[in-house]
Amino acid sequence: MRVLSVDDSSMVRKIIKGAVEVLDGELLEASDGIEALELLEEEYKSVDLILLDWNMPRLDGMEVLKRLKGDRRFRSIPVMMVTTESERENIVRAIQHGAVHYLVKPFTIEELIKRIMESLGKGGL
Amino acid sequence: MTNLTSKEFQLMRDYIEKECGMDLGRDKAYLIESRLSGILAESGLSSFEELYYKLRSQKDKEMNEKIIDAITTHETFWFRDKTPWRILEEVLLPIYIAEIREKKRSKVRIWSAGCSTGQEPYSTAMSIDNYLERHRIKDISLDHFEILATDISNIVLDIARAGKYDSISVMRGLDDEYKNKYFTNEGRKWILSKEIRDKVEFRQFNLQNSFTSLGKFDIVFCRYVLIYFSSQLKKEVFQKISEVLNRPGGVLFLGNSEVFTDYEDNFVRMQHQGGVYYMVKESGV
Amino acid sequence: MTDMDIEKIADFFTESLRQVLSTMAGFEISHVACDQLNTSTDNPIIMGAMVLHGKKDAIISLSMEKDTAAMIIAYMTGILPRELKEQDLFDGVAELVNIMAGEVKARLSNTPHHFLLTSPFSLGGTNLKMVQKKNLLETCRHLKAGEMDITFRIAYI
Repeated sequence: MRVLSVDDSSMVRKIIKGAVEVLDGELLEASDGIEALELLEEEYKSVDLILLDWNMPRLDGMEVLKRLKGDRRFRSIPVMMVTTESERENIVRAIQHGAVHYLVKPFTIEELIKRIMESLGKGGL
Repeated sequence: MTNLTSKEFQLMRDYIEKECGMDLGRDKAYLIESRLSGILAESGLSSFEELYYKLRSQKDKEMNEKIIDAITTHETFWFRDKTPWRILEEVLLPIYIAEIREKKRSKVRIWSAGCSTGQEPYSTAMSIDNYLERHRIKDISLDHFEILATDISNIVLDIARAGKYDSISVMRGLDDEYKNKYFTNEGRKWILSKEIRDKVEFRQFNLQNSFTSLGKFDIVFCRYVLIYFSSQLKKEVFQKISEVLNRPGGVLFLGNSEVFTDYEDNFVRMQHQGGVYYMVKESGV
Repeated sequence: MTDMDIEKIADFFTESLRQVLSTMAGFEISHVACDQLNTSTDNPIIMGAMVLHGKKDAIISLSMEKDTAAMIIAYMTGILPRELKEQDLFDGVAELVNIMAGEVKARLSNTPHHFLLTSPFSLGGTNLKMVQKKNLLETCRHLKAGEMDITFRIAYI
């Protein structure tokens, strides 16, 4: 299982890395939207899930989500938003644009692992 | 864009309280939407308003369980608050061991209700194993103890069964002694020994259902679970717990910061070294 | 932000930080009075800060000794303090400010006190002080997690 974390905070990416490793997965990292799209050009075939922050420099998460869902190659990769933006309008917007889950920071590591599994549509480890 | 108005939002809260038995205090209410995001996405609907009307018209039990699962926070520590395991080792285990030796009982049954990712029942199994070893007790083993752990969420139970934890989880409440004795470490992953994992049986269970199928218990851990429940459901759960506890002597542990006021019909509040436990009365209501 | 009592606003942030540290690091914090705005220490400090835009703009900051930052980030990431690089600490403290502010933003979103977040940033050094113009409304909270001290400040700008 390969997961791409797109977050400008290296601390958040480290937390996500721990969760992905518990699930015996591998983490790819990007620190903003542009970097994420560049990385996906090469790696999209092997990415099973994208965890996407909202507020990031250069290209924000919402714009990345729109581009992902508008591109045939990337469209089928599930996206979970992982962000501090917790207003109702933003959550609905993200779901309408194709996110499968929306995790608001702060979260516990157990919550994160659980949401990753749900987003992957998997029950078992 | 359709937004939930305050009134509809209130209806959603009422639905969750009435049908799911969960009381969303004012400070958690603003999190409803993010917690329900997965259910909204899965439903294919495009607003929380539509989701609310769908929920209300269907009253689907499985869907209600999904809501309970989504709204419950999974936050758990090893040996959380410490005192239940001190009471287990200093008060209860000596009694159980004497009773097994005197053939007054053949086993001890423990239920961890709302076990989340498994830290609580595994803490109990490790505590018992460590106690027996520390006291060089050879005639009694972990096999004399049955630990059942339940949660409403199948996914958290899968995580629990796997017994693999991230270093963040392992930092929370686990002493080096336990870490070194019961875990192996692979990078940032900590794997619990098979011996302890095998001692806990995990099962999906909704606390709104009847408890009769679970059998009788000597100890029930129901810690930081009822904090989400409405007062009505809380009352029902306490009553049902009192019915599945062995009399006399059955013990209930709650979270140390949980307040339980209406216990007197069925329980006696006991204290040991700063820790509190509730012992079921010989004849209850 | 509006001219809502700055002490009340500070309490929102304190409550949010309590929740963030409890959820993400397993720390319980208590708060003690912050009677002077210029508490100083000779040890290196890391300060995370953010400008908030509302009817009134404000700047918030969280400052702590470097060792405290290392301990908090270690518990949040599961990585031992000695394995964390300085950059991780700066990033971590800035992200703490971000998460804390995001929480308060959500709580105040449907009130006249709503505000927008900007990019968090961090500063480091010894004897670090934030000096505002005179007569600006500001307040602070001194927080303790075990032996660790954290100072939160907010000023309307």
